[in-house]
Amino acid sequence: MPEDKFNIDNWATQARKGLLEYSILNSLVEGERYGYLLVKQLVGMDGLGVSEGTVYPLLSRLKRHGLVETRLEESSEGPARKYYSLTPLGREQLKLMTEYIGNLMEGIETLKKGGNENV
Amino acid sequence: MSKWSDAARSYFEDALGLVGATEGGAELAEDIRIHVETEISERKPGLVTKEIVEGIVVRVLGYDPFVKESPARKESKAPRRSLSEIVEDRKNKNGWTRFYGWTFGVILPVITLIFEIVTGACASAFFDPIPSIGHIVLIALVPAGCAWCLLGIGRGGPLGARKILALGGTIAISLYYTIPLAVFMPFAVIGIIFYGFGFLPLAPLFSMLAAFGLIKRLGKGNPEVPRYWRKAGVGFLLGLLVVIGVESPRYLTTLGLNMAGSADPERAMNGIGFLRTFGSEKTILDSCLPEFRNQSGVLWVGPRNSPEQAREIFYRVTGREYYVDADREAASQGEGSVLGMRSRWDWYRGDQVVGRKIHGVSLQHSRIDGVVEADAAHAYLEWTMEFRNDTPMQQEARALWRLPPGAAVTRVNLWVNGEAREAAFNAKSKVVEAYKRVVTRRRDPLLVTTAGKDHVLAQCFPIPRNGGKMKIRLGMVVPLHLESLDQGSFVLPSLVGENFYASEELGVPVWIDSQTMLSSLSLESPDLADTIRTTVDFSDLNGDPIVVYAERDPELTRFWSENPYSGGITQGTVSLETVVSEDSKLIVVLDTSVALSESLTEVRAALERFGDQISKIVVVDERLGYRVFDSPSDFKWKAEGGKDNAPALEHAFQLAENSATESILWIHGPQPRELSSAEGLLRQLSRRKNTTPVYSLSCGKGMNGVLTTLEKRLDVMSVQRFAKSPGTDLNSFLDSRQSGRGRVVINYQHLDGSEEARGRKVADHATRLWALSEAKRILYSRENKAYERSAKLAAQHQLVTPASGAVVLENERQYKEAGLEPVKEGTTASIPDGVNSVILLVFALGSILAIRRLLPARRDI
Repeated sequence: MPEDKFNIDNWATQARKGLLEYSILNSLVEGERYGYLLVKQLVGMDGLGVSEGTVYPLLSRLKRHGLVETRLEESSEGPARKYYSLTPLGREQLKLMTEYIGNLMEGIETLKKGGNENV
Repeated sequence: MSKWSDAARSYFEDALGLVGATEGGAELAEDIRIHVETEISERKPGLVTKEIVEGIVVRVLGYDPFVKESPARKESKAPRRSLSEIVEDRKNKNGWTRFYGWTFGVILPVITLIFEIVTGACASAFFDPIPSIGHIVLIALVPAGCAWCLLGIGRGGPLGARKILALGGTIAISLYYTIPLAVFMPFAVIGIIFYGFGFLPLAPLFSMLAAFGLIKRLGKGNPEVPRYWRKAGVGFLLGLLVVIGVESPRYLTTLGLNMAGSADPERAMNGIGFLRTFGSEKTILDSCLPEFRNQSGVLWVGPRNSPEQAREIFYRVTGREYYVDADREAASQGEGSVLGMRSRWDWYRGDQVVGRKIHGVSLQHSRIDGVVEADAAHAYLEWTMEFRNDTPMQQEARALWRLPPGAAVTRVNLWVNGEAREAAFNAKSKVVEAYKRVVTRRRDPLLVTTAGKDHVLAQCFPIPRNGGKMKIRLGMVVPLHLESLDQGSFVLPSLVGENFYASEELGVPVWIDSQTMLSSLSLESPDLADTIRTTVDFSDLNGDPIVVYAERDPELTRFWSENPYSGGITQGTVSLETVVSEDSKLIVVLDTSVALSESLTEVRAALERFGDQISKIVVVDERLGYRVFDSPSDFKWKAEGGKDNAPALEHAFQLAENSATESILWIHGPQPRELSSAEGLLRQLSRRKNTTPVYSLSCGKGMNGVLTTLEKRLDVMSVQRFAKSPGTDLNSFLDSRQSGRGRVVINYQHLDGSEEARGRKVADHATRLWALSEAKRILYSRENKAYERSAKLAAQHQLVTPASGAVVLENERQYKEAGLEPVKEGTTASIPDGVNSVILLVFALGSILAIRRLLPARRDI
C-alpha cells in the first residue's frame, strides 16, 4: 500500500526539523553573527534544505524563548545590520542538546554493536 | 543607492504591515525589512520595482502575504481581516494622529509662545518662561519637532531615527515646562470646563502627550517599534541636555550670586570673579529688579541675595549701575513688555538718587543761557528744562548735573501757574525735609542739593499726569579757569543721570554773551565774536566736554563787586605765580574699575612721564583693598568691574599724614555705590592733622558715592576736564605742576565799607564766588558750629553748597510752614536783560535790512 511505503524524503524532513534549531545555535557558538549572512549560510548549507522563510520565524522564536538575543547596528552605507548572539540560556540549552544528541548517537552505536545485554 | 518606485515602496510597506499585524509578527517584519533592503543594496538595481521587491519578499517569506495566510495567522484565532480593511484602519489612525499631533503638538505651543512673547502674561503673574532668546528657541523646538514628524507621515514615508530622537527631545522640553505649571493645571481645567478657556497653562502637558502619542501611534504595528522607544529615550536625554545647556548660564549665575553674597570676603570675591567669567548679566540684572527676581526661572530657585545686595554685586561685576541696563532693556522691549509697563512706576520718588527712567516722562524743551565776564574770571549760566508726563499718574523728575569745576547753583526757579517762582536757600537738611513734606501732600516743590564735588541733584514733583508739564531753571555761577592772564575758559554743565527720557536729537539752544571775544571748538562760531548763538543736540551736551574760551584784559588784575547780601564789597585779585615743584609730591590713588579701561594706556604713560612728581601709587585692589607701588611701571593693571575706592583713599590719607608737602591725586571712574562703610574714611579725615590737598580726575560719567562722602569733610579740587581723553587732561595737569610753570591764581577778599575798592567794578557773581569759598572754608575748618555757620553764609548768598540747598515751594503758606523764606526779587543772579535786548535789536535791524534788500530784487524778477 502506497501509504505504508517508506519515504526517505519524509524522514529527512523530520530529521531536519529537529536539527535546524540545533544548527542555528551551533552557528552562534563562536560569537555573534550578522543575521543576513547567517541566514544566507543556513539556506546555502547542503542537506539542511531550508528557506529564509523558515529561518527568520525560527530565529524570532528562539529570541522570544530567550535563547538568542539581537542588536541593531546602524550603517551609513545601507540598511541597519542585525546581529544575533547566544544568551547564557541559549548556551545552556545548546549544551543539553549536544549532550542529548551525543547520548543518542552513543546509544545508536551501542545498538549497532549488539546492545548492552545488562540493560 | 537604488531608487525605489512608489509602487515598490507601497507594496513593501503594506506587505510588512500585513506580516507585522500577525501575532508576534513585528520581529519577523523587521527581519524581512532588513533582509530585503540588504539584498537590494547588494544587487544595486537602477530602479527598485514592485516586481523585484515582491520576488524577494515572497522568496524570503516563503509565501505571498497578499495571497496566502501566514502560518502564524493560520494558528491565530483572531478573525482575519482583508488587506483593504487593514489599510483603511491605518488611514483612520493616521488621520487622528495628524489631528491631535498638529493641534496639541504644534498649534497650541506656537500660540502659547507667541502669546507669552507679546503679553508676558505668565512672566508678570507667575514666572518668566522665556527670560532669554535661548528659552524662546527651546520652546520653539517642541512644535518644530512635532511638525517635522507629522510632515513625515504626510509623505507616507516611515519615521527615521532622527525624527524619533526629535520627538523624545520634545517630551523632555515639554516635561521641563509641565512641572512648574502643574500647580496651575487644576485651575486651568476648571477654566476650560466652565469658561471654555485655560488651555495655555496646559500647553506643555498637551504637547508632551502629543509627542508620546505620535511615538506610540507610529510605532504600533510598525516592525521597528522596539527601536522607536529606545531612540525616543535617547532623544529625551538629548532634550534634557539642551535644557541644561540653555539654563546653565542662569544656574551658574545663581551659584555665583550666592557666592558673591557670602559674608566671607574671600568667598564673596571668588563669587564676583566667577560671575565675571561665567555669569549672565541678564540674570544678575533680573535679581536686582523686585518685579523679576522671583519670577525668572522655570525650575529655577532664585538667588538668596536681597535686591539691594544684587545691585551691589551687579555694580562690582560690571562697573555699571543696574538701572542703566534696566532702562536700556525696558526701552528695547517697548512699553508693552513687563519691564516697559513696570518702568512706569517710580521706585525712587522722593529719594535723593536719580534711579531708573520712567516710561512716559520726557524732556520736552531745554536751553542754556549765559553771560561771561572774563575780566572778572567768572560766568553765569542758566539751564532751563521743561518736562512732560504722559503717564496716567503724577511723576517726579530727577536729574544729576555735573557743574563746571568750582561752580555752584545760585538760582533755582519752578514755574507755577506760568510764573517763575524763586527758591528758598537754607541748610540742606531743612530744605530736604520741606521738600519731602510737600511731596507727600502732592504739591509743587523743586529741590536742588549737592551730590558730591561739582554735582547737584535736582528733583521736582509732581509733573501732572496725562500730558502735564513742569518747567524748572537752574542758575549757576562759574569760576573761569585762567590758563594765562589773557584767556579764561569753562566747560558747559552736563547731565550725568536722569530719570526721564530725552531724544538724542532734541535741540538745545545755547546762547552765551560776553563783554570780550568768545570761541569754542565744539560750538558753532557765532556771527558776533562776543556772542555764541547755536543749537546743540542733547546727546552732545552729555558727551565730550564742551569748552568755551573767553579773552580777557591781561592788564586787569584787580576788580571788585558790591555785596548785596551782607554789605561791604568783594575785592578780587588775579596774579601769576611760578610753580616750584618741590612744594608738593603726589600720592596717586588709581581706580581700576572698568570706567578706566579705555584710558588705561594714556594714564599710565602720563604717570610715567611725570614720575618725578609722584611719591607713591596706591592702586585700588578688589581683594586687598589697595596695593602700594613706587612707580607706574611696577604693576600690571587690569580695569574691570566696579571697585571700592574708599580703602585706597583712606590709605593715601594715612601716607600723606606723615608729610606736610604731599597732595593726593585721585584718578577714578564713577562709583555710584559706597561699597564699604564710609566710617573708616570719615574717621581718617577727621583725625588728620594737616589739610592735604586732594585733586580728583574723573573718568566716565556718573555719580560717585565716595566723592559725596569726601564732600562732608574736605573740599576736593577737580582736575579740569577739557579733553575727550582723561589721559590728555592728566598730562596737562601734571605739566602745569612742573617747576617754573606759570600759574594764574584768583583770590577773593571780603572788605567792609571802610576799605577802598580797587580795580574795575564787576557783577556781583564775584561776591557769590567769595561766599562759596568762604562757606567751604568754614565748613571744613572744624571750627565751632562750622556746619551751621557755613550753611547760613551760603543761604544768605543764595548758594547750594554741601551744607545748604534750595527748595521752591508752591506758595507763601508752605514756605512759612517750613520755616523758610524765598529769596527776594531783585536779589537773584540773572542774565542781564540789556544784553539780550541789544542782541535782539541787532538781529531785528539786520533782518529788516536783509528784507529791504531782497524786496526790489524780487520785483525785478
